[in-house]
Amino acid sequence: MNAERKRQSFQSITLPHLDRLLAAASRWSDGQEAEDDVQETYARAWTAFHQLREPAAAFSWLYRILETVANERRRTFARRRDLFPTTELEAAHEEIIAGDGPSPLDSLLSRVEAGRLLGALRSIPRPLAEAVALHDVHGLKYREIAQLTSVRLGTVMSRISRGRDLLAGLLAIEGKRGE
Amino acid sequence: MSTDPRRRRATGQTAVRHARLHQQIAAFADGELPGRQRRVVEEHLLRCRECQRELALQREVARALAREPVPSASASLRRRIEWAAEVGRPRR
Repeated sequence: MNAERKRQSFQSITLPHLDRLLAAASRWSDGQEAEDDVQETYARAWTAFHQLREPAAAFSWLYRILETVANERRRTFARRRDLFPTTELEAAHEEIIAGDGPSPLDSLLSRVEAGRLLGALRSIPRPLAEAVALHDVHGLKYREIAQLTSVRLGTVMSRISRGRDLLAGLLAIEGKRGE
Repeated sequence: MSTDPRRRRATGQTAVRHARLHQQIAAFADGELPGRQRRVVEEHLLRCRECQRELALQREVARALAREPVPSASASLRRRIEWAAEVGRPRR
């Protein structure tokens, strides 16, 4: 492939995923760091573009590169500072579903600021946050998430279920603190 | 708790079945369960209030996340990426 054709092909296949990748990078790091990770991802993708066999799978391919970039920067350690104790979140979730009255979630969600829920994903364990975001934010199917994250379909199912439970628990705790 | 071992076993089995089906509620809400499994969960939902509340929770959180604003790439990031594709090197 000559350079001009490669450039055109690279841009038409990869650039449509730019915003989604930035959204994913923003879950692990903030502002400029997220942009740097995405830029580095595209630089590596350009070099390895010949390895992309299936253009339809471009998002998954780019996402894997982004994960490598983010892991290399050891962002996981920075993220851990935001982690909320899961036992507390589980207890708050139990309270929501065991209650007799109307679920408090409706009113909690109506009061939550735009962007807060995406930010809250940093407070739950990363594998759960990743599965939830890939499904609910990026619109991937369970099977695609299983392939992308190299886990079984049943694991994706339980990660999404548990991830949303913990997010609901977090909202309930924050709601109580704000009362 | 019942002292009758048969009744205790039955209660234990119900709890295990409930826990197994409860874990499938998210996939049910997302339309990701195959037909037969879907019908089993549907039947369970008719009788289980806790799973009904879990279904509502799963749907509400998923809907709220889908409504979240996704950040869009700045013009400068887009230019830097296009530059990388021009010359094969990232520009800082």
